Amino acid sequence: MVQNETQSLVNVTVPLRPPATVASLARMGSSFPSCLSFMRSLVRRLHSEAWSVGPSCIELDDQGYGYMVYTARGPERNYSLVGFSNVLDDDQRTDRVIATAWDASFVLFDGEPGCKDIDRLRNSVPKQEAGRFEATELVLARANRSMRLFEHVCESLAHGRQPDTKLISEIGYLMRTTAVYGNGKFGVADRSRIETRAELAGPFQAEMLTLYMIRMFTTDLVEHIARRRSPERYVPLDRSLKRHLGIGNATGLGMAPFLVTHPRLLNNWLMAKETALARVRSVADATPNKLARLHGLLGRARQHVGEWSVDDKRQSDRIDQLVCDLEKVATWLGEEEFQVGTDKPWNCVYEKSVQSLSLEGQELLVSLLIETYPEFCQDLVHKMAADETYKLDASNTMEQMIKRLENQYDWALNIDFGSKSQTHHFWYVSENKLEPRFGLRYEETGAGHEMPLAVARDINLLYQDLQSCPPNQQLAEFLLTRPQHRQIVRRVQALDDYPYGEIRANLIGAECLPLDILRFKLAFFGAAKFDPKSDLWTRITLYQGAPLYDELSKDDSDDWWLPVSPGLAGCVSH
Amino acid sequence: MRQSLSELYSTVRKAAVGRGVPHGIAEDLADAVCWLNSLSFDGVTCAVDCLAHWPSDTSAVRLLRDENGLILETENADTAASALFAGPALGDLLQTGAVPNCGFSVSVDVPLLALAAVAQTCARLKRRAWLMIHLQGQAVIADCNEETCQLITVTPQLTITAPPATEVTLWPSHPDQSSGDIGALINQEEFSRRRNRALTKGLEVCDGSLEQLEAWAALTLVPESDRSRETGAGAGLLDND
Repeated sequence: MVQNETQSLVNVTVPLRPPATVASLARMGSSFPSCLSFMRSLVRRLHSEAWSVGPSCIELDDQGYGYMVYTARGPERNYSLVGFSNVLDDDQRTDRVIATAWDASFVLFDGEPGCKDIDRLRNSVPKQEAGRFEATELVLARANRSMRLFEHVCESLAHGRQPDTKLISEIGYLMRTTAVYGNGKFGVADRSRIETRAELAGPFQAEMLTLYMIRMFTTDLVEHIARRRSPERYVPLDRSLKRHLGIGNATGLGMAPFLVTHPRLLNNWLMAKETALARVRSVADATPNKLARLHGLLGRARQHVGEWSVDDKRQSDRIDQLVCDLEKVATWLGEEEFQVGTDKPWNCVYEKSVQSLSLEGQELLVSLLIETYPEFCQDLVHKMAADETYKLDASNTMEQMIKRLENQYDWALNIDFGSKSQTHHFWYVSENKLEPRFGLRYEETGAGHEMPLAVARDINLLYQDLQSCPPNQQLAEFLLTRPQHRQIVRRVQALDDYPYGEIRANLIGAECLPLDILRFKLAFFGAAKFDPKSDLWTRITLYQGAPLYDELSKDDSDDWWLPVSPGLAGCVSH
Repeated sequence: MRQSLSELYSTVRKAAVGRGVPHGIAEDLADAVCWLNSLSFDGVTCAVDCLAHWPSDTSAVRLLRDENGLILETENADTAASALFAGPALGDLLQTGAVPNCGFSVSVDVPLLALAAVAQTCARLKRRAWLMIHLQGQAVIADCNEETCQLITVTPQLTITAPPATEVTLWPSHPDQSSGDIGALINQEEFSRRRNRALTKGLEVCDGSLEQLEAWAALTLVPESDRSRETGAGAGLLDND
């Protein structure tokens, strides 16, 4: 039974979708954000705890070069974004992680920095990976201007007019981050330093806070430059346009291995989502309020999808299909059989979707249903972090391990790794920038230095060796002579009670699309409008439609799921 | 040089893999080094010593079952085992519950790494065990449990024999050292203080040893192919949006 804040009870009678369904790579690659997404949970906290967020220091010249400090003041602690705006030649502006200079660079500081801190950070932050940081720094990031939009907005404001709404909607951001680093990278604080703080305990909350303040930095920066360029004619950016500007991000393979190397975290994210869905599907009848809310959200989703335009052919086709899918959903909701009083109406809609919608359509419907009942997610957002300390139980016997593999990893054991197509790829770390890459095993060199991400293959190798040993032999003895299995054994044991911990796919197979992994993770961040540039990287927009820092106290501060162009958007009542 | 825990973990793990150590063992080594450095021991140099000796200067280890239980011994009686494998094996043995109460001794090339492995196993399993090692000529018993690992010095004449500096002795129950001249080297309070400092400030590590580890870690890297350069994030673009 789930007790929501209005004290009504939901008897969860619909089972969670099985791991084989939800952890398939194709479905993960069809994910959409929801109220469980990390940006949303951060903004809800900023609202509910009445955080004050805003600029605390602005030191910019007429061209907008210099630095700004933004401070988020919470009930117990403060955090500051120190952002440096730097001169950058156009020919140095690249999304690639191998870049060495950026338009802006940032650090999230634990507390409020003093003059000495600023002096130190002024030297190190613009260097990014080449700098060294201290435990008072929590997150490191950098961003480049969108050359199409930044200058257009700046010039428009300097000439006393608002920028082109269509262009803002099409691009969605003034700056695009190319990396956001936390958890000890380059000397910044380890996650263990901050994980016990309520405001940063959830996944990626420090990173999400950083990005929220970077978004503020970008709009304040463009307004500053425009004002200095033409003080008499300057007008500030219209609030609705400002709200529709998010922060861009170019995401490549660097993000992909994370979900493989953090299986308990993956489990907890999926468990939260599937639990929320099961609760909604179990709702006995749809109240008029909820039905109206769902209709409102569906209308917004249709407009959002209608405004989602990409060059990538595959994604473009999927978007076209999604438009049709949403039309079907609208039709179902309008049908006579679907009226107030229908038994488990949301379950009926979901079941229909499985029969006739694309995976993107099904997953957008899932997000829509969850979004309609945000109260069902309140407890779940606190369960999405994970203890990733794994124990190896060396007392297990061969027989026990074999049974475990047959129960938990049947999907992996069914893959024929004798086929070259199943070992088509390998993951490696590039010498050039220490970032993960996806190589072709039989065409490129380096497979000898493969990253240990081929879970399905390693499970098969373990299974074969386990069967060659006496059934009552203990792992202590087995691993002494076969230490190559130590890592996969520890992983298997660590996931005993984590059914959603594994991506149910062969991550080195010819069919593997790393982009699917990226999209899943980015959707949990809260990203939308995925704009794939290849099978290996994508551009996205974060925080588009999110409340501005002086809107955090408003009642509708959590109502920005799938944002739509300003002027057409409307709030959906709860 | 100051390192965060995750930086140090990552460097040690990659260095071990670069030297050809299996991934799971490399993870255990990285855990052990972070544990040692967080207690102000020079775990980084221990890792360098261990990886430099392996595999040519170390003996393989094997498990033997006698009437009292399971023990670990080196295949070559004159050569110490590598802590890379002996450390995790000691922890594994503790888990099986088959270590004889009278304990057993085995020669390990870098005993501090064996200590870290046993201490971390005790912390994870929430159980207690004792390990005797030798630090700078001094016999030391580590009393490991769920929360701490207290190091207690023991006067040399009270040890059972005059063991080589590489010998470690593991007991699953309290060893009989009650008549010895015992003094605490790291007590519970000091243990907690050092661990907390590491979590909040990061770790100071030996520059030279870190450089060696980084050099080994670099052996895991692969030059990017032309294809990768042409298709990676941002590939082929100056800013176009």
